[in-house]
Amino acid sequence: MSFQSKKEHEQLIEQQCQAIMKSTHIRNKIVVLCEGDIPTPGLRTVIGYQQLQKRPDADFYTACIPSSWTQKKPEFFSCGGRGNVLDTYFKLLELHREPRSDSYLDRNRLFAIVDLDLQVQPTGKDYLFPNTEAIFKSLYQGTKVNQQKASQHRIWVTGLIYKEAYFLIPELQPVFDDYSVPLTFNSQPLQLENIYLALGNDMDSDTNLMDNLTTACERISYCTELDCSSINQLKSSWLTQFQSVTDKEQKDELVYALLMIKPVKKYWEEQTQPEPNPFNPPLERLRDRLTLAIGHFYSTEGEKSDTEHHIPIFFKTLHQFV
Amino acid sequence: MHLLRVQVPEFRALKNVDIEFEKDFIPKVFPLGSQNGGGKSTLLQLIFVLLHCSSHPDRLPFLNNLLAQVSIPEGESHKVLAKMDIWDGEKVVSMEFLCCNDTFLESLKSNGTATIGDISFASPFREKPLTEKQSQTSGKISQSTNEMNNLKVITEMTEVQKSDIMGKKTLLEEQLKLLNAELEVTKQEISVVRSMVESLMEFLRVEKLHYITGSSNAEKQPLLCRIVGMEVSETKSFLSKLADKIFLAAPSTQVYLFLSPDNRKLLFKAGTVDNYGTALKESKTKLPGFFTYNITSTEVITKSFIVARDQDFAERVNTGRYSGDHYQQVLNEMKQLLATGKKILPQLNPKDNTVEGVRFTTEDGTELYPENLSHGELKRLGICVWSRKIENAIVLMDEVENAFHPDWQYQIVLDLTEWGPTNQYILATHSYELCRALTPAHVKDLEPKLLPVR
Ligand SMILES: Nc1ncnc2c1ncn2[C@@H]1O[C@H](COP(=O)(O)OP(=O)(O)OP(=O)(O)O)[C@@H](O)[C@H]1O
Ligand SMILES: [Mg+2]
Repeated sequence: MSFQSKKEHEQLIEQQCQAIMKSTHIRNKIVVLCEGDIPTPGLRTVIGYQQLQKRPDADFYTACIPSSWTQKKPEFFSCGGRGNVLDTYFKLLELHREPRSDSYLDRNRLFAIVDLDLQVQPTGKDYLFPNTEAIFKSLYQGTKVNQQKASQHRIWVTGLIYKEAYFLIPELQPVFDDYSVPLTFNSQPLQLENIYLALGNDMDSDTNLMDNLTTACERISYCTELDCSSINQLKSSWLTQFQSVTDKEQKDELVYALLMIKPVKKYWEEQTQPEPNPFNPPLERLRDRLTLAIGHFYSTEGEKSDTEHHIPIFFKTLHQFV
Repeated sequence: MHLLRVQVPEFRALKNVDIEFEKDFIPKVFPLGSQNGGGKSTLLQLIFVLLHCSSHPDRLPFLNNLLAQVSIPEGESHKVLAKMDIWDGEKVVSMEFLCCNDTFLESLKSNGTATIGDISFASPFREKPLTEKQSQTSGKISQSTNEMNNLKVITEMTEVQKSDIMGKKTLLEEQLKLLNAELEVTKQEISVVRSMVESLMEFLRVEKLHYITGSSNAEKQPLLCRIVGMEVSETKSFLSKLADKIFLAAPSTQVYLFLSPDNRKLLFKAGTVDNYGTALKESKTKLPGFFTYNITSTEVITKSFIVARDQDFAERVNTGRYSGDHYQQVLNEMKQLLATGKKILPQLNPKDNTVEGVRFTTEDGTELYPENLSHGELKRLGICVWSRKIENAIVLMDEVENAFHPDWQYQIVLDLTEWGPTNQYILATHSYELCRALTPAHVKDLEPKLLPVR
C-alpha cells in the first residue's frame, strides 16, 4: 500500500466491489474472493482468453470444483494481494448491510480464501477471528481440516503456506509421472521427495522463515519430534526425521509441516522444469497446463466422500450454501 | 488419431490458415475462435468431408458438393486444398489434398524419366459413354439376329413371298455386318481408353498420388491425395482407416457445404425448412460420423436404453442370471445429466413392451414430455450418448455451447473428456467460459497472426 495513498486504495477497493456487484453471472451463486491479478475488464472473448499471458489465478480454484458440481458453481474473483482481498470482502459486507437493488451479490453467500503466508494479516475488527493465524488455528487440526468448525468460516486461509504448496503434495507424484511432457527438478526426473529435501535443506537460508519462526513453529506443533528451539535445530530435526521415518502417514505429516512453513513458490516456478528440449513450450504455458491437471486431481478427489484434502473439503463446505 | 496441424491456403472464407493442435496438451480439447463469418464452420466441414468421404464411393457426392466451387486459378496447374498432419498413434502422417488439371500431369511428365503415352484426367470419363454405346450396338445386333432367325422360307410360300423374305434377309445381313463393324470399333476404342486410364493410374501410382473423385468436374480437375512417404495403396488404406475416426457435430440449422446447392437453399425459403431437415436426415444415413444436436437426440437416448436392455437379456441367456445392471447404469448416468430433480425412464409400447422412446418425470413423479425438458438438457444428453461410443477419434464440434448456461459451457469440456477420454476435440466456439476450463495456449485463433516485427 506504500505506493498508493489511502484514498487511492479505497477507490480501488470500491471499484472492485462495484465490478463484482454488477456481474450478472453471480446471480444466485456463491462468490469467493481470492488472491491474484485483477483481470482487465472487457476481455471475455475467446481470442481475449487466448491472448492472456497466463491462466488467471482464480481459475485454479474453479478447476478444483468437484466434478459433479455442475450447476450454480461458485464464482471466483481475483482481487489482488491478501490485504486487498480482505478489504474487498469487508467493503462488500458493508455495502450490503441493507438489501440493495443494484447488486447481484448475495451477502450470505460471500466467501474469501487467502494464502496463509508467514506474516500474520489482521482481519477486520468485527470479524470472528482477529487475524489469519487465528483462522488457521480454528480451521485446521494437524494436517486436516477441522470439519466441525469449517462451516462457521467465511474467510478461509490455506492450510499450507500458499496455494502453490498444493501443487507439491505427495499424492500428486502420479500426476507428474503420467504427465505428457517429462518433468525435471535439478536436472533429474521430477521426484517430489527431492523437492522436499531441497526445501528442508534451504530452511536456514530463508530469512522470511527465520523472522517468523515462532508463528511457523506453532503451526507444526503437532509434529512432536521436531525441535523448534532454533532454525538450525528445526532443519536438522526435520531432515533426520524425514530421512528415517518409513511410515507413510508420518512421512506425510512431515511433508505437510514443511509445506505449512517453507515458502515454495520459487521451487514451483523455477525448478519444476520440463526436460530440455527445443520443442518444449514456454514455461508459463507448461505450468498453466500442469496446474490444470492438478486442479483435475482435486476435482476428482472431491468426489470421494472420505477425502481429507483441504481444497475438496473447502468445496464440500461451500456446497452447503448453494 | 490426433490432428496435429491443418493448413488451408485458400478455401471460401479461409485464407492462409495454419493451426497447430499440440499432441501433448491435456486435455485434448482445443477451442477454435474467430469473429462471425471468420470461417470456423467452413474449416470444420472441410476437414470432416475430406477425411470422412474420400475413401467411400457412396460419400463422394458430398465431397463433390463441397468442392463444387473450387477452381484452379487461370494458368495454374493445381490448387492445394488442405494439408494435414495426423498422429496415428505411432507416427506423424503428412497428407495433402490437391485439385489438379492436365497441365499438372504435363509438368510431372517433363520432370520424370519414364516415357508415358497420352494421359489425361478426362480419360476415365470417356469409358462410360463408350460402354453405353457398346451395349446399345450389341442390343441392336441381337435384335437383328432374332429377326433373321424368324425369317424362314417354307415350301407353301409363293415365289413373290419367297423373294420378299430373301430381300429382307440380305438387308438384315448388311445391317448386321455394319453393326458388327461398329461394335468392333467401339471395343477397340474402349480398350484404348482403358489402357489410357491404366497409364494414368500407373503414372499417378508412380508419383504416389491417390486419385479420389470421379465426379463431373473431376474430368478437368480431380481431387488427389498425397501422403509423404506412402505408396498409393498405403494412402488408400490409411484414408479408409481415418474415415472411421473423424466426426462432426453441429446444429441442425446450419448451412452445410456438403449438401447440394438446391438443398442448401431450402434452409432459407419460407416453409421449406422442414425439407432441409429431411435432406439433412438423409445425408446422415450415409455419413455415420455426422451428428446434429436437435430434439431427435432423444432417438439416440432411446437406442441406448434398447441396447442396455438387450445386453441384460443376453447376460440372462448366457449366465442364467438377470441383474439389470446395464439398464440401471444407463438410467443412473442419464439422470446425472439432467438438471437436479428430474428423472428419465424409457417409454414402453403397451402392446408389446418394445422401447419406443423416453419419458421424463420430476422427482415426485409428474410426467414431463421431452419437449418440457430444456433445450440444453436435451442437447447435453444427446452429446453424452453420442460421444461415448467414439474412441481414439478426431471429433469436430461446432457451436457446442449454444443453449448452455455459462456453467455448462465450462462443464462441457470436462464432460467430453469424461465421456470420450481418448478423443481429440476441436470446438468452434464463441464462449469465454468454455475456454476457462482450459489454458490460453489451448485456444486457437483462425485468423493468421501478424508476422513478428523485424
Ligand atoms: N465462396 C466464398 N468465398 C469466400 N467467402 C465465402 C464464400 N462463401 C461464403 N463465404 C463467406 O464465408 C463466411 C462463412 O464462414 P463460416 O460460416 O465458416 O464462419 P464461422 O466462423 O463459422 O462464423 P459464425 O461464428 O458466425 O458461425 C461467410 O462470411 C460467407 O459470407
Ligand atoms: Mg459457424
